[in-house]
Amino acid sequence: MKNINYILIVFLLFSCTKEIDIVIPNSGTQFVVNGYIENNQFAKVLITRSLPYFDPINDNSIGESLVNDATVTISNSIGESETLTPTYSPWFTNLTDTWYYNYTSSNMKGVEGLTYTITIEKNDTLVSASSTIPKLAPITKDSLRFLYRADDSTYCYLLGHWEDPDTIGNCIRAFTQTKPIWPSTFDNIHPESGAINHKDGWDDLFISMLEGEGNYNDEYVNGWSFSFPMYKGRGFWQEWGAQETNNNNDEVDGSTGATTGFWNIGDSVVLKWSSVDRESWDFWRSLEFNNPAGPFGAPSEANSNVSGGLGVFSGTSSEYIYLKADPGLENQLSN
Amino acid sequence: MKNLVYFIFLISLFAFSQKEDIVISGYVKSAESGETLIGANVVVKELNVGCTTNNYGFFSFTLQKGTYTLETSYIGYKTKAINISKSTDNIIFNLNTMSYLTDEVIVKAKKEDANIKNADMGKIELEVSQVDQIPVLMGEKDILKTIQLLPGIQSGSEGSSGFYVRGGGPDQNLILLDEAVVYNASHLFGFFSVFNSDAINNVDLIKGSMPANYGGRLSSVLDINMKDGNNKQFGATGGIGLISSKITVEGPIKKDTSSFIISARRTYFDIFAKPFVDTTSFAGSSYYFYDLTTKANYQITPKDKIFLSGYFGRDVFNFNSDDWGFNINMPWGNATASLRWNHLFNSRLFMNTSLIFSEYKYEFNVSQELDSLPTSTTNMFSGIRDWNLKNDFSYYPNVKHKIKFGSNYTYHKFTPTSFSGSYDDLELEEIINYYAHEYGLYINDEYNLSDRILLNFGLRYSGFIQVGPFERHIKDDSEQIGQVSTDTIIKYNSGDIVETYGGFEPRFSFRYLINESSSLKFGFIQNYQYLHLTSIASSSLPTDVWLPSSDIVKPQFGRQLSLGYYKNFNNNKYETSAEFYYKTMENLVEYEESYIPGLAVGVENIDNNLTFGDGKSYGLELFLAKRTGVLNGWVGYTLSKTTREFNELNNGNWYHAKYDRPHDLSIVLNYQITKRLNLSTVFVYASGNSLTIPRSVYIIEGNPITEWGDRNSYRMDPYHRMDVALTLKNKETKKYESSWTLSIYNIYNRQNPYFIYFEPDGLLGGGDDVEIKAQQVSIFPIIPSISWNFNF
Repeated sequence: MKNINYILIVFLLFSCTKEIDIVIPNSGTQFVVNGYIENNQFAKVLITRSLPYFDPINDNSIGESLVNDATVTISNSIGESETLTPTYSPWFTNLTDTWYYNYTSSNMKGVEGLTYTITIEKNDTLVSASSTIPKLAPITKDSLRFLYRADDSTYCYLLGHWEDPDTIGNCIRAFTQTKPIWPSTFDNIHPESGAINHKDGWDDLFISMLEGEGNYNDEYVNGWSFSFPMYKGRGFWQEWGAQETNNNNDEVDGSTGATTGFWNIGDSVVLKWSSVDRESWDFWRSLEFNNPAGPFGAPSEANSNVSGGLGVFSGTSSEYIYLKADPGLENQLSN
Repeated sequence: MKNLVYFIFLISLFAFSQKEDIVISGYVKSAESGETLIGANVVVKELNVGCTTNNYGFFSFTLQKGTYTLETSYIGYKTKAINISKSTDNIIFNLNTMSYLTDEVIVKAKKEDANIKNADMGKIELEVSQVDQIPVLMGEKDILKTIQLLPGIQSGSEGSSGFYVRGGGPDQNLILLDEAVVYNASHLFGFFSVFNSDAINNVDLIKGSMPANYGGRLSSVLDINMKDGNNKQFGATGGIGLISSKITVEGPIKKDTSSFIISARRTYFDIFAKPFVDTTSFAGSSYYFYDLTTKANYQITPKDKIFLSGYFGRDVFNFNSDDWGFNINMPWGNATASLRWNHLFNSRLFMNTSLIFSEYKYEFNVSQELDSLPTSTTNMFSGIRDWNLKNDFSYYPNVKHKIKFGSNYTYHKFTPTSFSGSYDDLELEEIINYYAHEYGLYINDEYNLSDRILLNFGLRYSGFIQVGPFERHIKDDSEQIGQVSTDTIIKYNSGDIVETYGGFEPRFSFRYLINESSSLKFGFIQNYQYLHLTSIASSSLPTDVWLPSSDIVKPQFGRQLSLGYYKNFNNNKYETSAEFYYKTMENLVEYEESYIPGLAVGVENIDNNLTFGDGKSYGLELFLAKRTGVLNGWVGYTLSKTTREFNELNNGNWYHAKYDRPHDLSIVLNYQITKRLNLSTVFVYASGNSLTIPRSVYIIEGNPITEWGDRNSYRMDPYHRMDVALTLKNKETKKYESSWTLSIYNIYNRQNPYFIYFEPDGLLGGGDDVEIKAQQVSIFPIIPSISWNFNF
């Protein structure tokens, strides 16, 4: 669908674009949930409010949008429940794998097969969401290896071999976290607020795989086994095709600065392979279609599983596999 | 079918019982080319009664014994008269054209006061030769765009030849090319219509009460007749323009009785644009379209004639990326073929039988081939294919009645969205087809009750049967973990009936002649539409998918009331009209708000993702035209409101339809400066399209996500534009004539909104602000173009 935009070419030669002012009627804000519970981990939930559309978004405005004084409870399908602890603290200290959180459980950890429900209460507002942690459909460690990029052997990409379980319905999100041979592009986020280095030299956050934002399911390939390439994605802090910088803060260009899609030979990589339930997977998948930049797509609302609010609460079961991005190595697994 | 035979039998009896009368019938043709003159006026002078020729140029009268003068006229041609005193069944009027300057008109009625006197409401007839002077985008003249300059007919967006009639959707227009349904009338997202105007004889558009012989669409009929071809001598016409060239060749197969015409067109901006394109991020992409139109006719006996016509057109888009080993190939287009047989049983009964094939196809093929990777291919395709058998009779029992009756049967095969692919040595194919029978039976009578009152009433029964083989996927809504798509499939075998629909469609119109120069008309129509076009985009796209009514999709149902007042001034020199309409529509389809395009292609029924609702439209259309003279043209204005209501969209509230246009104004002026030089101009003004805009933004994993606001609650800036064209005819020689047309599109370079998108500027995490900006894209600035047309 995206590719149709290419056809506009003939007319884009003539076309012109200008910025216009649109007044959006103020219709109040909504609660936004961005949370998950992962197998063997505590629940982590970020609750914010939606923001005025054309106002600048920055650390301050996001900070102000945090909802830190709601009553958030989590319960599971075997009758246990717990009130989540607010963990409000300065910016970017409570990181999840992909973003950050302001509520967490302190007893309840995720268990495969259970359904979890969170409710958020503040004044008259009641928001809730449910999700089930599916059984992990693992990718086996020895089925992973790096291959050289076709035209340039200083870069590589990941090849996986997948044996899809026989039951249809496996929904996967795949991410990687990288420790590049160059300084990390996202290590010290916010020097002014004294942000914490989680793992020195590593990107603080995991990045979704490039194709389909790392969202795969077995709709067409149920029960199959096959190999498939995975390309390094783009973090929200990165421009498309952004160059990395070396220790002197100079741009690393040409054949040594990895661009979107590839790892440098020698990077350390953690693959996070998550099974998620279909409803929350639908949310992640739908983000790609949320705001199409052209006449050939209609705007579509993100498929939220949150009732009374926006966003997603997701049950996931994940494995983390440590790898060395070097096709020359016999064994590319590492610690 | 049995009923039909019985019906014919009855009518034949009736025909033979009136022995006292004389029956006169025949054809009206152009003396120069032998081309049929459709809608020519034939009048019996003594009785002051008349009729117009049908789509095959045929007319018939039944009169009491006597001697009469039969006069035939057609604007642009010299009037001809003959005396008749006995039954004659094959009169051929060959009319000669008038000299160039005497009768310059743009849109002409076949008869100067036809707008007053016929019972048709909201019917527009266009002669293709008359759209020549109207300025056009990039010199590519286009009947569909000319039609959009008339009241009640709206264009979709800038430059688009997709059209919307009285608040109806783009799928509610029945577009017929020599009786074959054309499912996608646009090249390139609607910037150009698929009809090459050089191959077209005339076009009728009915936006009001369509007679009962038409069915299957709620809003309008666009009936396009191809040229038959010159049966006197060989000739060629053509044109060379900035983006395309075209050629038409025609000539006799057998002089005076049979002829052929072949017309071809291809664009070449892919070649011109390449150097520019290769410097942009679109490098490696190319686009072109071509079409081929052909027709032949053969007179077997004086009473039998066959016509064979065909159309084939393709748009092709290609994209190659060497870096990623990526190839995209995307062809789409229509193919139609119709074989028709005209038979004259006797002077009163005319029959046409047609066997028609029609197809629309869209393919999206991607392949990736890189040294280090397994080769993968993906092919997505969709389309519709019809086989259609039609039988239409025109029966003229006496001067007061003109009866039409007939039947229509279509076998449809739909391939909504299917998929095949391979990856390494794995192969995959998922195709879901829908099969259906559609039929219609009708009778229509135009009855001249008195000098003042003309009635046109008809009844159509239409039906639709969805049949197997078919698989209905039922969505699983249990809590089962990670269920991807479905757990239940209902299977129908070949021949099983999945669903049946049908209903009566009464049609009625009425004309009251107030005096010789003014009349009042009223019309009512009710109809069903069994086909639905589903679109996710805001412009006409090749990916739009035709779907049948099925076990879960009900047929669309529409009703329209219209009322009009018509008045001509100055001996029909000026023509005015005011028409009011009110229209309701039920069972319209849209995708559910959560639908993600392209997901689950081929593994589930696409209509599982549809939601259903109603529509309403009403409006007032004003029209003023000056048909003749050195300065001629028209002004059309429409005031209207079009809304939709879907339970599952916009919280169940009514909302503006995408192409709701409160105001729509068109002005067309044509000035013949000298015999060889013509200046024309078009001005259009329309309210902006409605659009869904965001309500708020929120952040998920560092990315700004849009919460959308009420559906179509925002209106873009109004659209307005002026075009001019100057046509210079070169000196004519006996064998050869040619002309230059210089046209300027959007002369004051208005930046009309084409679409608006919302783009975040900046990235989170760097300490900088992210700001979302509304960007408005305008596609056509001022565009001059020049083309050279020839004829020999």
